[in-house]
Amino acid sequence: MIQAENNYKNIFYEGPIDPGFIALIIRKHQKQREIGAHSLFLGQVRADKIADQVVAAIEFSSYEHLALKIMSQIREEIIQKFGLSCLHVYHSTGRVAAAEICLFVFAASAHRNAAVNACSETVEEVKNKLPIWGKEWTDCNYFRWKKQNNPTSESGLLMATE
Amino acid sequence: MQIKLLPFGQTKEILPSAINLPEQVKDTNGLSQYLVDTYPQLTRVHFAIAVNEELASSNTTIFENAVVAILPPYSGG
Repeated sequence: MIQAENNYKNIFYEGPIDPGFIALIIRKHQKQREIGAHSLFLGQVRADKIADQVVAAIEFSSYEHLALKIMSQIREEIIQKFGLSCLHVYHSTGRVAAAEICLFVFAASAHRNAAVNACSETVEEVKNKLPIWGKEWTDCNYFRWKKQNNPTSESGLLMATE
Repeated sequence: MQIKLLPFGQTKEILPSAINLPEQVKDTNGLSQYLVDTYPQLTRVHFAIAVNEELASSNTTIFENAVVAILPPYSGG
């Protein structure tokens, strides 16, 4: 039934996003003469302090097919709204250690404002609308489910049972 | 009624993947109530429901063999 919809552009990247991959994506656009501006956002796992522990890694999981479907709608809307030449989004799945990259958004257009604003709006949309979940693991192997804008005062750490 | 349950995030640690619903559960409101009653740990988790990959923004009918996803608040990025 959903077979025909399986051609959504993939955004998922296994593990941390390699800076070399980011360079490769930039290089791929060096033949597009209509582009005048690139705007890139890189999300990196931060070693947040939780109580007396520190976040060592985030383990990402997703409802992959639904995420790709929603991302494809977001992508179309943003490309149209800002008149972009292209828009690329990559999000990690699996475990990403602190100080590694887990989100890469790349917007390219003829002029600077469109690229910068489109990039920023895409990051917001990715965070708010894609069914992706992060499980924060601490250096002591405790975990908690990540929340957007988590208050640092609240710990809620649980001991791993697996 | 038999449905396929796809729990994500922290709900994956609470819910099974297949579930046999009692006759009186026919829609997403009924399902939410049934799940919270059956799995009390769910009470402290906010969640949305998607039926066959469509987010249920209002009460939605559930049919036999539906794929029903349980979606706690997103935290990607």
